[in-house]
Amino acid sequence: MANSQRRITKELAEVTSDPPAGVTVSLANESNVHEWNIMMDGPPGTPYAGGKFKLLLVLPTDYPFKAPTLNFKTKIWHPNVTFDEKGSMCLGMLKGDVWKPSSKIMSILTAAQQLLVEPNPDDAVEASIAQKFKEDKAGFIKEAQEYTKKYAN
Amino acid sequence: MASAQDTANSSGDAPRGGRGRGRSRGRGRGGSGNEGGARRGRGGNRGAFAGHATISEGNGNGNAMNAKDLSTRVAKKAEGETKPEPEEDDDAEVCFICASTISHHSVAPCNHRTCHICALRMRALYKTKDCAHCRTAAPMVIFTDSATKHYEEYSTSDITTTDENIGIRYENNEIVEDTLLLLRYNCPDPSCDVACLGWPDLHRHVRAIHHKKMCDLCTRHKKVFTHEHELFADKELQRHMTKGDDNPGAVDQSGFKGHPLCGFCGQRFYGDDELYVHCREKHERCFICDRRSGQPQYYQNYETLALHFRKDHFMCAERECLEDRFTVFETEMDLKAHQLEKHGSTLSKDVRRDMRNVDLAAFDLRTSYAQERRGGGSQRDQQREGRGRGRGRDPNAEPLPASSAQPLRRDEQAFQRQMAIQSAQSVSTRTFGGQLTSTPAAPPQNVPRPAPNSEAVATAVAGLDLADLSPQEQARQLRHRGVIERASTLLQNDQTKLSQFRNSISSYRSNAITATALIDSFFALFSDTSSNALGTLIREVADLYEDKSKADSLRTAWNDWRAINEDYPSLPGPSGMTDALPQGWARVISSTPSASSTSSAPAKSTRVLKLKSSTAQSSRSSVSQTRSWGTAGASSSSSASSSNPFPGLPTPAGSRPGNGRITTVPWVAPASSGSNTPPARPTPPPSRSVSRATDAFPALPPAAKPQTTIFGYGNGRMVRRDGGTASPSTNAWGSNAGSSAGASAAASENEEGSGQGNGKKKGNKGKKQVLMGWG
Repeated sequence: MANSQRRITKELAEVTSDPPAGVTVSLANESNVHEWNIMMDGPPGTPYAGGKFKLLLVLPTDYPFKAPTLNFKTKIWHPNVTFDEKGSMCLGMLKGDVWKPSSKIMSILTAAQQLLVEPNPDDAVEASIAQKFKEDKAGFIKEAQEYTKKYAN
Repeated sequence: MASAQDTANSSGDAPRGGRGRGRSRGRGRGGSGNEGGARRGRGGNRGAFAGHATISEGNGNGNAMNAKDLSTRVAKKAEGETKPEPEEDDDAEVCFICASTISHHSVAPCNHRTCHICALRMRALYKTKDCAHCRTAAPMVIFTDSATKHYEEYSTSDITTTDENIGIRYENNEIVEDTLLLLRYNCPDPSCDVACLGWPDLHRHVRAIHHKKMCDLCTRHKKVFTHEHELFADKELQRHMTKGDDNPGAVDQSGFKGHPLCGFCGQRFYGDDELYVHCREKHERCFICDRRSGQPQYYQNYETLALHFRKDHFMCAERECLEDRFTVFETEMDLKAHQLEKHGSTLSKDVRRDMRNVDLAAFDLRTSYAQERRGGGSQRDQQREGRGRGRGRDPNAEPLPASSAQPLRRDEQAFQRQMAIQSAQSVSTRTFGGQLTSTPAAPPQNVPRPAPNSEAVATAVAGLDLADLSPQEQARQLRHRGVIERASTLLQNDQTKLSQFRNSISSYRSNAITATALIDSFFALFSDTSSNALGTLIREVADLYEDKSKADSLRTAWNDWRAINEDYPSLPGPSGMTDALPQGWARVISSTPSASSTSSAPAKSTRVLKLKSSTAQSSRSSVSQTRSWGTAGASSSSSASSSNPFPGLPTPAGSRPGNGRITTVPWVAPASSGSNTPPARPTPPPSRSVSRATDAFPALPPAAKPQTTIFGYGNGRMVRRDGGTASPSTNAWGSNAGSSAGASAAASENEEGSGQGNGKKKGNKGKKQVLMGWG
């Protein structure tokens, strides 16, 4: 509670003053530092380029001892993000047994961006997309672009 | 708690924040020497205690408690007073993890540092001994005041106290004391420094002294130090349970939305995970619904779940399965498969056979699937051929290679002709109808000689009807009326069809036709009706006959028909279908139009085109057969032509009752047409086919007839009406039979004809042209 707020406030200040390229951060609700709205541009050179993705970062009350959760609010067609309303993202560093209290939100955001650049089909949540990614790269790119155009504008 | 102060602080100066937190009682002593005196004094007091204490909290004996209480109180006060304190100095070190000022350092073997509070929190509360920075296992950490000294530089002489349990080695007793302080059952009230002996004691204390409560769930599950818990007044606790601190606009929110409630038990759980575990263990969920949608739906117990199974799914009712539980299926077909497999031995043959029936009503067919099906079906059909000629499945219908099929074909033709002649003689149009259905379109094409004939027939029929009815007794008349009503409903009040229907019945009565033929004619008439409905009707009709043997043979005929035709659900096959089930086709076709007309005409057309292309070949190859095909195709075409003669016929389309067939229809329709001549497809309102059949009669004059004649017909038609379109298609057939070349010619003719035809069927025209391409 109180402690997590201190750490969160600190990180929020960091991220706001020096956000990763293509990312902007704001509080979903000014009085609650546990929920952050993230706007992330599709990294250039990826099928997501040109899209603007909205994500929601939720920091648990026992942050940083427990990992935050990061969900895509904008639908994204990606092997590691569920293609549904939830947009749950499978980000290695956020897994319970991998999470380190020392991990910074900044690094989470960069990791998320990196995942857009380099999907990880071996750890996919959307098997069909992963398969396409592995077997038909061109088709994957095309489809991902289409969905980006459709949802992320 | 000190949250108000905190937030005030943190909002002002985030990184360094205030130190006013109630929790960090010892923190004040951290970097500043201000309080030094007091602290040291305390330390001294407690020295003895700490020394002998093994650091387990339980150790606080009475005396020590008092001393400690005192000291903490002092500490708290000091904290409160010294708010604006030295710690905010620039050189104050901040813990990387909690972003608070460090009072004591914790050094892990990997030489990563945190504040002692974070280290203790992880080790004592989260039960993990990994380094907070790198997750390296740290069985022991050193709590020290030195900000720089490395882990390996500590020798045993540097350590005053060791806690093997949580794995901490202390550099001095002061740190021990500060650490132990955190682990006691301290009262969360910021102004109270009572440390209790345990949870019960603390709860009692809080209630008695502060008139507040602590959340039982939080105290059990929440990983915070005792004094970090919250105190609630009754109402606040209620709110905490149900809504958490979700209070829009409030300053101190954490996103905690209250403890989730199990709706069945009325019990709350600490978090969703705990609730999930509870539900998994105590309640049931429906695996079928789970599969369908992600949202888990729970049932209180198996009994309620079973109710759900029965209501919404297909549950096996066998006793052993009921005892086994969870023998339930998503579809009826799965259930039947299960019953046949597991309980097949206990079922009667009839039941088993029925079970093998697949109700296509709700079936969404995929082309490939249907094709497979078809292959099997056609063989069977051939075998069966001998039996019910006029029946639904025309064995010959297959677009198969001409050679093999030929013999059958002729056979059939001969048979048909014979039938046609007979029927003509007997005047009962009915027969025709029957024939037509089975070999659907055939008659129409040839038959185009229409209007006059049909009228004659109609009158004949009427006569029969009257004769038939007059002598009946009242009761029977009632029943009779019932039947007629049912029939007219099924026929959508189509008077023509209705009279056919009557006609058929009376001719059966007068032995003009056999029961089988009667069934066939019914089938033709009620092409849109589900076989169940038809069965009911037929049973009623059977009841009307005074002559028992007549009734029985009708029933038998019906059963036979079903046995033959229903074994094999008339799966709408794509192109291939032609072969198999003419009736099915007929049905399909007739329904198709309606379907298409009502709904998605365009979709269908595209499909048609596709099918055409795929089928084009087969149709060509089976030239000679085509003729007979033509019949099949004819159904559609005939229907079209029929429309002319009987323009008044309402297309059933709109009103078609939602029997499952419709779904199938789209597929089928295209398929059938595809296999035949493409032109046939475009056929308009197939529903009429039946009526036409009636009028028409001559299902027979088949292919043989010169194309020219046909053409003539076609043209004439065209002139007359849009029906013309259909007729042309017929031609096309005829031509096919003759030669491919002829076919093409015919096709072209068709085109023209259609062109002249009517504005209505523009879509059709387009199709035809495409077809032409094929030809």
